[in-house]
Amino acid sequence: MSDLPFLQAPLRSHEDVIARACEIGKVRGLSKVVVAAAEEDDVLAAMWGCKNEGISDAILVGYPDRVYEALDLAEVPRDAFEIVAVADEYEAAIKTAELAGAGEADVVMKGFLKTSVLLKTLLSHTYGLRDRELVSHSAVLSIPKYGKLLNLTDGGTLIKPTHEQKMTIAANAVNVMRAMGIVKPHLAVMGPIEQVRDAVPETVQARDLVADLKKRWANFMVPEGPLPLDLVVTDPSIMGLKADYKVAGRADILLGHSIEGVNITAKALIQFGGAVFMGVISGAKVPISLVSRSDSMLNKMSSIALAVCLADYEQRGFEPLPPYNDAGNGEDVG
Amino acid sequence: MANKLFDPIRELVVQRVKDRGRPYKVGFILSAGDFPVMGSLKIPLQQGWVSPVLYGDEDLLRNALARFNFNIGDFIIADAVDRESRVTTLIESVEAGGLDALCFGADAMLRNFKFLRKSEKNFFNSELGTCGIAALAFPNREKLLWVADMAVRPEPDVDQLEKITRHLVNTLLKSGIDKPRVGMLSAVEVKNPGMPSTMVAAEVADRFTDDNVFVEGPISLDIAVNKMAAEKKKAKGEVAGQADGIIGPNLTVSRTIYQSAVTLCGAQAGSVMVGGMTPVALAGRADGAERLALSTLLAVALVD
Repeated sequence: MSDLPFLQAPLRSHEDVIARACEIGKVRGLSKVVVAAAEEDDVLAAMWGCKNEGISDAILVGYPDRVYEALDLAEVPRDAFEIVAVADEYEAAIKTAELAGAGEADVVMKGFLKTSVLLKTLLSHTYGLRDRELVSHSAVLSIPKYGKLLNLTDGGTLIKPTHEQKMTIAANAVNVMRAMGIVKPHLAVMGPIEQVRDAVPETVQARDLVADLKKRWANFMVPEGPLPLDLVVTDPSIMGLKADYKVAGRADILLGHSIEGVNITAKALIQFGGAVFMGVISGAKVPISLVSRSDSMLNKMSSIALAVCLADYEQRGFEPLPPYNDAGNGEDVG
Repeated sequence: MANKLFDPIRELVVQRVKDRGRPYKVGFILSAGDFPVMGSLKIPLQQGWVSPVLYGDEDLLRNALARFNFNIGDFIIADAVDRESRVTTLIESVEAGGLDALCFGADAMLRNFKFLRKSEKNFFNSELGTCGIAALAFPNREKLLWVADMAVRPEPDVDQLEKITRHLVNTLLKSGIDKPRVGMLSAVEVKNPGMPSTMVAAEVADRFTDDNVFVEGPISLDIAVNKMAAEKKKAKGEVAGQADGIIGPNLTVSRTIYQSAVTLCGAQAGSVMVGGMTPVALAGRADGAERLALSTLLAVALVD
C-alpha cells in the first residue's frame, strides 16, 4: 500500500470521495465490484459511469441473456465487463459470495435480487465474509450547508436495534468515517431533546449508549448524546447554550434508535437540503453497496466511490475497534 | 421564494380581519431573552392583523419597545412580574374572550410554558389532546409542508397518532387547503409486521374515510413529497408526490424533520401548539424574529 499513502486530511464532500476513489484506481488499479444479479439496467449504467471515471471495474454475475438485455437498455457495450453466468438470484448470491470470499471482489454490489437473499448468503459462515457481530447501513451524506460529511446510521438494515446492536452499529460507522480520513470521529446519539427524561425513552437509551461507548472505545471515537439534530449540526454557542459540548455542532456520525428515524432524516436532507447520498453496508469483510432505482446517477456513483474508499481502508490493516462483547468483558480501551 | 409560500395564509388572515372588522388580539409572553425578536411584531402591526397585548414586567417591556421605535400606544401592556400569576392572568383573559391567540418567545417558553400546561384552569382542554405543528417553506418546494407532532408525545400509540392526525387535518383545513393530503411516514411503503410503524400508519390511515381528506400510509418521505420519486417507484394514491402534511411515527422523527429543515435545508418555518383554548405560537431556541412572526401568523390563522 506504500504506493498510495493513506489520507492526511478528512474527505469533506462527495466530490472528495469520488476524487479519492479515482486516485485509488489510478495508483492501485481499478477496484473490482462484483454485481450480484446484474440484470438491473440502472446499476449497470452506474457501473459504466464508474469505469469511465476511473473509479472501479465490475464483474457481472447473472443470467447472461437478461444481463445483455439490461446492458442494452442502459446503453452500455456488451463487452464492457466480465460476465459470470448463473441461473437465478440464489445462484447469483452464492457465486458473488464465492468470488468475494476468494478475494476476487473489493466491493459487492446488489443488483436485481432481494437484499435479504444477498445478505443471508454473504454472511453465512461458508464464505468467511462475516467480520463483526452484525452488518449495518451507513448513509453518508454530503450536505452543502454542513460543510463536512455526516454519517447517518442505521437507516437500512436493523428496524429497532438493541443496545448491544447499537454498539456494533457505532463501531461499523466509526470504521466508515475512519476510512474517510477522520481519525477519531465525533458520534452523536439522536434524541428529541438533549436532556435525559424518563418519560422520553430514547433519551435514556442515548445516555446509556454514550456511557458504554465511552467506557469501551474512548480511544476510537468521541460520543455524546442525547442530541437533537439542531445541536448535532449547529455550534451550541450560536444557540446561546453554555454547556461544554464535545460533539454538538461538529458531529461526523448521527446514530439513531430506529430505522424510521434515520431513514426519514436522511431522506429529508436529500429531498430538501441538496444532500448527496452515499450508502454502504459495513461490518462484513467487503463493503456492500446498495443503491435504489430512485437514486440519481450522482448518488449511485458516489455510493460506489465510498465503498471503494472503505475497501481500500480495510485492506490497509489498520487497528480495528475491539469487538463489543455483550458479556461485559469487552476490552476497555478508555 | 420560500417566504412567499406563507402568502396564501397571510392573505387569508388579512381577509378574515376585514370580515370581522377588527384585528386579532394576541397575548405575547416575552421574557428579557426574547426582546431581540420583538421586531417580529412590526409586520403584523403594519398590516393591521394583530393587536398585541404584552405580558411581563411593564418597565422592561416599555424600554424594549422604545428600543425598536414602536409606538407604545399600539400595545396593551399587562404588568405581571411573577411568572405564575402572569399565566393565570393570561388564561383569565382568554376565558373572558379578550385574547384570540397566544405567542411565547423562546426564553418565555422555558420560563413560563410549564405554568400554562400545569395550570388548574386547564388551558389545554381539547379531547384530541395537544399537538405541536410546524409549517415549513423549503426553497425547492412549491407549497408548504406541514409536520406533526413535534412537541408533545414521545411515542404515540395508534389512538394518539390518530388524534395527532386529526389535529393536522383540522389545521390544514383552517389554513385554506380544501382537500388535505397527509402521509403517515415510515421507512417503507408496505405494511410489515416486523416494522410496527408501518402497521400503525396503515391503521390510522384506515380510520379516515372522509372523501375530502386523504390520509395514507405507510409512506416514505421521498415518495410523499417528490413526484418523480413517486413515479419511479410506481407509488399509487392521492398523497404520493403531493403531500400537504406528514406525520412522523414519533416525536424524535417529527422534531428532526423540523430541525433539519431550519438548520440544513434553508427552510423558513412557523410552529404552533394546538389543542388549547386558543392556538399558541411557539418559538424554538435560536429562532429569530422572522420565525416568530410566521408562528404568530399561523396561530392567528387557526383561530376558530
